[in-house]
Amino acid sequence: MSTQYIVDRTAVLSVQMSTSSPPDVYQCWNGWVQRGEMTFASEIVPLLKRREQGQMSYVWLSAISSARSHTGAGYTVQTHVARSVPGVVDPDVETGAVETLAQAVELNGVVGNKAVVVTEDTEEKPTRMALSEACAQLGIDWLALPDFLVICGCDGFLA
Amino acid sequence: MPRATYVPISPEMLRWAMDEAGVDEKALASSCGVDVDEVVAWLAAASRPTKTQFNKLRERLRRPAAVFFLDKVPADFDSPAPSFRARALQQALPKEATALRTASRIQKVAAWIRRKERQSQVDLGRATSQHSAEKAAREFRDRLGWTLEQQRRAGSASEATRAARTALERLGVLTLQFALGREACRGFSLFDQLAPVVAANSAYIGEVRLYSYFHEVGHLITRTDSVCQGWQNSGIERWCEEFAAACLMPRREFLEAAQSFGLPKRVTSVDAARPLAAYFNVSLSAVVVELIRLDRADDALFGRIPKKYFFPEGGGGGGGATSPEIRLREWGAAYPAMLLRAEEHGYLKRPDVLEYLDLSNSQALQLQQLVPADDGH
Repeated sequence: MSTQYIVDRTAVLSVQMSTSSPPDVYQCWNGWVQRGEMTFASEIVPLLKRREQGQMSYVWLSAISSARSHTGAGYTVQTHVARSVPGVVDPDVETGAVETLAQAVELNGVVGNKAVVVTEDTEEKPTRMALSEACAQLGIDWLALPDFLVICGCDGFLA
Repeated sequence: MPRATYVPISPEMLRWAMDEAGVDEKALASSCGVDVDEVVAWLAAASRPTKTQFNKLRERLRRPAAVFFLDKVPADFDSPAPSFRARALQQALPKEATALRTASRIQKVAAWIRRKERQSQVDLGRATSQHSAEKAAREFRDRLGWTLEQQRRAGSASEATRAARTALERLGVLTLQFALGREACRGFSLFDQLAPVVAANSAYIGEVRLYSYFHEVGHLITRTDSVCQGWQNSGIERWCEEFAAACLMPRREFLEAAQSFGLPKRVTSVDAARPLAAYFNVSLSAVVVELIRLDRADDALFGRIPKKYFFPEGGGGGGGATSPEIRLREWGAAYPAMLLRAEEHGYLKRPDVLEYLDLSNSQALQLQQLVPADDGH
């Protein structure tokens, strides 16, 4: 069984905000993406660009984007996800949550594959369901960022 | 040539998003670069937009992509007062519709935080249009801790408005400000037990905004959310006009000032009201409303206030502000302070706070330096 980790917008951003050496973490993640063990949905790139252009999180994301083995799921899967967990859809703001979930659903559909979402969107909030809760409802495994940093050997950079 | 990708949008969600934005088929067709018939076909599920058309549609309707993949409108997509919103949004200009949505979202987040903090309901008092506007205003001024001295001491109407916003925020009222343009409403209000909201249009001069905030408070205490256009001569709008005027110019002080300025028994000229407006740091329109209320002028006097009076000469300032400064100006200090406090207490994580502030992390750090020390409201 090969595992692919799908990082969402909040995980990428949280490396910048809450690790002691973001360049080292992103550098480590380069290898994971290039080996096909880590990916992200294309839709989170413009989301991060909107607020973090010029910042390390966006610079890394856009630079490594073309090295991904899987860039995201199509509209049919996104529709399925949105209708399965409508609570994760924010009526006003793009969050990338549906696109991240859809990517996990699609990757999980490949025999021999297991997708794990890495996210810091794990708490109840007023305007939508947390991504972690949506993962649970869809039967998708998920990890919080600190736990994933342990797996990729970057836990020394936890602030 | 690559084949076009067609996006399987939900007709029901498209109709909902169009209604919410006050955008009809013709306007949407124009934005998407298609014929009206094409939009009609999308709504009838007879056709689907291409990816390019979908992106233009999303941009025009200001909704995330995933909204259009839902099969029906979720119950929690409705704001607290759907009948009011439905009426207001159908008549609203696009900027007004956006401002209403933003205000509604801020209200939802603020109420959630206050619920988490177990805060009690905001005590604004209660009145109906059967109550004396003067008495309701006196009671509200006491509740707010707002004095005439404070109002007059302000160096300018803008300063008085800022002081009023701070006072209202201390009471628990979220006071917002949006650049809606000269054709748009003066302000609006949204009632909620935990997070009542008043908003003013920054296209108007400070004096008018000050008056608008109190006018909208009148709606809150009578539980009559509204989007307020020009001066209204009847019903609850009239009551709120009188309430706002009485908040800013209590009757006794007004009559004393009118006498000291030698105001005639019957005022027939707008210019006669100017000294009083300057004395109280309020708008000409506020003084005229009060004169009408006290039967010292006819209703028609309001219509004689030159339209250009309501707006700053040269279109007003505000350019060059940073995003954190814009947030504070538009959303007030209470809401950002609330979000930062929620993060401190662990109710929200940093990415959530950034999402609700619509700021980058470095901008949020700047905002933290600008927000006054928070006293928990």
